[in-house]
Amino acid sequence: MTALLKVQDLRVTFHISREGDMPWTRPRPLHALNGVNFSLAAGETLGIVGESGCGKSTLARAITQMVAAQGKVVWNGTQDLLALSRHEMLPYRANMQMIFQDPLASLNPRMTIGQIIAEPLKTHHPNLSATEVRARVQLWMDRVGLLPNQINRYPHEFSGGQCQRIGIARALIIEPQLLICDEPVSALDVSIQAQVINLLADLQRDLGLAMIFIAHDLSVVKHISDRVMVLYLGRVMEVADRAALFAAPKHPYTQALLSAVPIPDPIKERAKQVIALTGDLPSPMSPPSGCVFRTRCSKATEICARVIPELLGDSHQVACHHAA
Amino acid sequence: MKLSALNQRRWTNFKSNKRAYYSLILFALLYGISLFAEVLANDRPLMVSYKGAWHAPFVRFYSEADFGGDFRTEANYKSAEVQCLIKAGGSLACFDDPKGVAAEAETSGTAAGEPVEKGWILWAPIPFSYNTINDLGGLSAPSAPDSTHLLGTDDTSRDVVARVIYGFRLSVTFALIVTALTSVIGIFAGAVQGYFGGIVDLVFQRVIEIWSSTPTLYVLIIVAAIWRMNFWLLVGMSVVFGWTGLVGVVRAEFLRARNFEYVRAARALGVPDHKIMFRHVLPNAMVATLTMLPFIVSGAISSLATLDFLGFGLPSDLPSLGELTLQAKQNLQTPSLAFTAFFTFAIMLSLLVFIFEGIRDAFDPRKTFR
Repeated sequence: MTALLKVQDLRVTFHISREGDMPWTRPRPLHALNGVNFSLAAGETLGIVGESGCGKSTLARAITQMVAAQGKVVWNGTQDLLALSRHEMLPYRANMQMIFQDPLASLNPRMTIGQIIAEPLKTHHPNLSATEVRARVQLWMDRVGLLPNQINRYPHEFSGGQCQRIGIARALIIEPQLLICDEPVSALDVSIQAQVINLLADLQRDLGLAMIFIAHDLSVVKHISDRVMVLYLGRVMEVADRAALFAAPKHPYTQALLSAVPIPDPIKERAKQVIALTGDLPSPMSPPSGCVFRTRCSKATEICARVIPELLGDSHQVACHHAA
Repeated sequence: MKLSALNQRRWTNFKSNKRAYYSLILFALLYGISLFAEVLANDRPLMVSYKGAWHAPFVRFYSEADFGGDFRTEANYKSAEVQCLIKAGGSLACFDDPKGVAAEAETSGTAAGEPVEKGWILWAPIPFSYNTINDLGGLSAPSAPDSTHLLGTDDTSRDVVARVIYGFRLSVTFALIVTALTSVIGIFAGAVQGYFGGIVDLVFQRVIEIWSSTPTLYVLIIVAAIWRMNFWLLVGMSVVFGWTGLVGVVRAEFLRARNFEYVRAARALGVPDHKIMFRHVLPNAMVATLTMLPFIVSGAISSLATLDFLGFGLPSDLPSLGELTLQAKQNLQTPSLAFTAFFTFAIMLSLLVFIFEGIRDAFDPRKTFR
């Protein structure tokens, strides 16, 4: 089976020039993503986790071409999306929709809910009649649990959870094959998070959607993902099936992340051994040589500073010289 | 035409601002009246009945010969002879004793004993136009207000009321046209600059800096020396040198908004750039843009007045409030000129500022109204 989406050696580099630089000084490169590889089958959910600044959102933006990227993003085993012009990209965009972190900010405050949800339809199917558009908008409002009488309201009249439902309706109304969720629940209350996650899971099952689910909350990722990818400083640390990753993490960084998840049982929680990471995320402007994680890793040895570990393994891939 | 829900709300908001609402009504009334200035103040009669046939001299040309006189030139309706000819149906006796014959025709319907067809003349409420040079009957120009000239006359003995009415219309029309054109160009330029940013912004910004530092007055003087200055030339010059005023604000708003999440969302959906700019960003940049508009309107009015005051504006036979101000400065012995100019400007500019202030508040979605 060919993968729906295959990302090969994806690199995103930002060029940063400092305040007071001379005009001829070359801006310094910041490697936000450094050789990311993964593939995604139709109907599969890939969870992406990592600290702030590790490149999670950049990955989402690179796939949707909102930032310039190098490498390959192969759609359906045939078409490299990065080779397409903006115009040629348009039909692929209809198959690839996105949900954003801040639900309210991602909705235009001057447009009604009806207009917002109808916008993708009007962009990708301009020939639809007004009645047809309205019928589909109402169908999707119903599917995501919005009331029909809310169609003429403005975004600020809704709660965060409702706004995220509007965002989901907008993303799914043109029935994409891939949904990219960029921290869709981070801005919501825990109780609302569960509702939105369950809504997403239901819709995914019904529509056979593939999802890239970005989050920094491991419990959310554990709930919804089939496979999980751990990013650190723009590099993939570990990719594995959910069960395998949460049961037996191989990378020291994943182990540290998992040990930080609180357990809702005070006795176990107190007995738990937390692997505390020391220090901050190194600056992506000057990443450490070799393994990028070595500066905070308890297992780091001399080889870690010299050789960049490759992502090895079949179903459970890990990039570490000392993989457990 | 039915307003959309949002515009209805804006209209309600606007109305709840009493000062702006009444200013709008008053201003619309004044400007509406001034649009009919030809009917209000004219040195040609609105309607003339000559031998039973009706004529409208304020829109059409009639020679003196049409009323039984000798000359093929336009009838001088102010002269006693022409008035007599009209009233006495073209009786030749008018050339001997115009006043007497006219009075006779009006009372008895005869002229020098012979029966004639009676005629009449309907004058505008102010029987002077902005460029009528009046016979002041011995008074020196500029004359103080009296019963014939309610605000007196200026130094070429033209009626000030008529000139204010026409001048108001000219100033406001000028300001509105200039504002509309500069806004369209300025918003478009600012939108492109802010939305695309980067090198487009950098280059464009330098071009604007150079352009806006052109000494406008010198260019105007040169242009005025080449062509005779007229209304549309002045509008053109004001737009050419005025459009940069809005660019800064619109650019800043677009620079801010282009990284908003909903703009990103629209981009991810595949919405084309021009739609994002004008459907997503511009409506949200509108408040800041509208904030600038009152300044542009009042700026256009005062720049027209300034040019007229300095003598580089419209030719002096056109009704101009700036020229009135200049005359007030030169004729301090007739303070009515100065007071007229001051109050006309003060009322006009205040009303406009109040109105636009109300519009700006009405467009602000975060502002609440009682």
